[in-house]
Amino acid sequence: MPLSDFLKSLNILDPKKVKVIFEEQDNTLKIVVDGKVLSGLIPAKPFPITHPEFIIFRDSYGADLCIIKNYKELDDESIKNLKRLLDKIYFIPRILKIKKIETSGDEFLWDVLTDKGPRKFRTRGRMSVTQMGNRIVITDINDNVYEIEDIYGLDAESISEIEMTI
Amino acid sequence: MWQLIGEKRISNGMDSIRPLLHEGEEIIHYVSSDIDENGNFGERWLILTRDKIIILNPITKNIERIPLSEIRSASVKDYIGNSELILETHNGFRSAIRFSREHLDDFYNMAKIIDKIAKKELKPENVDSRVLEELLAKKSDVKKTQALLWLMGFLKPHIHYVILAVILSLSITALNLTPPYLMKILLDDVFAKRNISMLVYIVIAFISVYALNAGLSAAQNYTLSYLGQRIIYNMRVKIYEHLQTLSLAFYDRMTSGRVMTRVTDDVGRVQWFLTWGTQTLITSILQIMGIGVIIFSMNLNLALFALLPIPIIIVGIPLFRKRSHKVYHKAWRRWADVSSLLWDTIPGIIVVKTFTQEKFELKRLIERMTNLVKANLKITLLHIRFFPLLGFSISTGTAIVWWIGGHEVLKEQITFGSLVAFVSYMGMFYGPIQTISNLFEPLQSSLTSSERILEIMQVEPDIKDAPDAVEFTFKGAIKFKDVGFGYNPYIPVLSNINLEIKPGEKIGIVGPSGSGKTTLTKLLLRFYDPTEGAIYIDGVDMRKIKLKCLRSQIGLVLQDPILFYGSIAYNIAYGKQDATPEEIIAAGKAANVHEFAMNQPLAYDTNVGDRGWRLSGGERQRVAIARTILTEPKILILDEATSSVDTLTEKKIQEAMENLAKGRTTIIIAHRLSTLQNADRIVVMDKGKIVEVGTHEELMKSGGLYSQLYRAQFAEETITVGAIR
Repeated sequence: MPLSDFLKSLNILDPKKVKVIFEEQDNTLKIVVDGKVLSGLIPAKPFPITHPEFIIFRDSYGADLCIIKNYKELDDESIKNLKRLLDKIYFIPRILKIKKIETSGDEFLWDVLTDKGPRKFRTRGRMSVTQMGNRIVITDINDNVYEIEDIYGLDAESISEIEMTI
Repeated sequence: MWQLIGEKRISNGMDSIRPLLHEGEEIIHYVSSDIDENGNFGERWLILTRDKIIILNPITKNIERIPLSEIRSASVKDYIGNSELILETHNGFRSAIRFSREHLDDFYNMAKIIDKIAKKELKPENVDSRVLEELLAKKSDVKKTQALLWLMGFLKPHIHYVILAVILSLSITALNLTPPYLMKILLDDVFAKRNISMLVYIVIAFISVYALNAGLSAAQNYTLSYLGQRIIYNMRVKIYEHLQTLSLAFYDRMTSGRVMTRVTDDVGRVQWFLTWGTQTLITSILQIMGIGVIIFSMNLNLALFALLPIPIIIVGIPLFRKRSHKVYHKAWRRWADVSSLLWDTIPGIIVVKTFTQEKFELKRLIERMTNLVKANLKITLLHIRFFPLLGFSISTGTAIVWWIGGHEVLKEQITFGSLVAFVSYMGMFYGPIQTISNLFEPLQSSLTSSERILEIMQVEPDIKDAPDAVEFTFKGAIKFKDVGFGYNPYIPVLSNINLEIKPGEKIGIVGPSGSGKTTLTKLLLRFYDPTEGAIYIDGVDMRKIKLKCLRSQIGLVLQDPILFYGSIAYNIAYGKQDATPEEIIAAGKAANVHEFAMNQPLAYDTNVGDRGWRLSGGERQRVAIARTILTEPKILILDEATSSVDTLTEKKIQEAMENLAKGRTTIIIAHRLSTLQNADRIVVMDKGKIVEVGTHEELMKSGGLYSQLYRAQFAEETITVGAIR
């Protein structure tokens, strides 16, 4: 079967025609598109690191219903509603400052300041740190995820600490 | 090497061969063997002339002549530890000559020539050096000078850094020679003459020399490291680029471990040679020359005594290295014993525990560790036996100089300062001699490494684009016409394969293991070229299609797929690097990857680990199918992998494969015959030949190999199901 057939079945929506509404009572989303309403939806990011703007809307059974390629193209109200749920599901603190990185065996002990407050965590192995250009995504030994949006946007001490280690 | 000697002996022994030839009879080719007619080690020659084969024992002069006109074919039979050349004559097959496997390639080549002549494919009178060159397998023969020149080529783009490094080395050498001279002035002019004002200048001079030395050494260090890194970068990129062009046949001959050693260890050793090795050599030679000139011009008599310990250094150090090489190797092997035990037992700890063999394994480790300790102590013993002796002989030389020089000072023939300076220079003299003696072995191993790298670089890819190769979009028709193939050209794996496949047809290939199923698909991807016949795609000979065009339109899913270090998305998009996220998801859904990918911590961005170890076998298989779906190949080759997965996973893989196969020419290598019931045709292979072709029903009716295989498998599955119930 050609790939185009599978592409069609993905149900990719035009963000300009979509309204996202937050449903308080069950912490889900409702989508209104072309007069049709889909409710009880949970957003998921299939590429939380490489394409964080790409969203799949799934029903409560985990079945994919539709896709928005870039949620930032939605209207502001919809973005706000979507982000309320996304921020809960994807708790990826942004690292603002690296106080210290200590090495112990094959582990790194990070002492950092994030946008969600100070944090110490451990990482293990080279798979835990993914660098994409100036962006770094760090997964700790408990699968918690942290992000440095731009290494060179950090202060000089943090840059030197991270360059010495990674 | 032995072969060369053997051939040289034949050349030298031509005089004894001449009488065996008639007027004008020319020798085409000759090879030497190392097993005689009685089956013992001994020399024997096989000489091919335009009329006959002469087999001669040069010692016993035992001779045999076989006219070429009597020979129908020639082949080599390979046994354990030896092989033989077999000739077919009208009387049947006969053994012509036996040889150890060392000479296998030479005799394969000889058999090839004789066989071609016997089958009238080649006329003996047409065989000249050009024909021989084409017929004979190329032998890689890298010469040391060639390797050295190749290495020097890497220095060329950075010649200014090389010059800078040499200037820095020269300056450091000159600076190192200054302190003893300053010491002489200090003793003779400052202390002896109580010249306090000069003391300041001497101290400043000392500080300046040391400061300059530190600065220049840092600069030299940086220059050499920079140079080394650039060289290693260029060399690795060049080798890797070349390795990518080489065909699979190269990787069959050379294991991946050996190839990787060339890129890692060998390049490292060569880099050391080009930077530190040559610089240390140059600096040491310059230092020896500089100090030599100084001490001989200072005091000829003392200088001669200073040379006394040198023979001990020159002879002793290489001797020590020879001994130490052995003991270090032994220690290395003992360490390998320990580490292999750890590599075995730690991953296999479940077996150790199941059989309660913890104490046994501990005992084994203790034994091996004891041997390792003993081997390491041997190294220490060797060191303490040699180095104090060397140190003592050098000190004795110095003591003699103190004795003779002391007398000269007392007789006021030389100043005390001169003697102190002389002894200091003497100490500096032995250092570079020791360094040079120590350098020989690493220099030698660097050269060997460069030869090993060059050996790879000189390999030409067997499979490459023909100059008139074409590109076009495939419809998917395949035709095998009289195809024959063998990884070793003398041992056919496939023969006389004739098969036509229509566009969009679904063909199953079945047969016992070793029947040539996988080889057939490898030919289709042109990993190898058929040795006989041809394969056509849409009527075009595959050898005339551009490789990129061919391989991008044929998809292959291996039984045990290989994934790379990176995310699931990276692996799916491997064949189409510019794939959009929605294409990756579409392929993921088609291959039943989506469900498990979305359950991973970072979904499609989750890293699969080296070779995909973080995924299960079934998951890896599906990612590989998604990877192929994304490239939308016109022809598909599926090596069905259903033997090691559970029923549910098997169903998901089957579904994924069916999604992939729809509307494409598909060749399925099936291991479970039940999955082939809806194939358009089934091709049954046995011993490299197609033995049956037909639909499932037709083949079952005919009662041939397929029906036997099917019934055997069906019975097996029934028994298994029965046993589970």
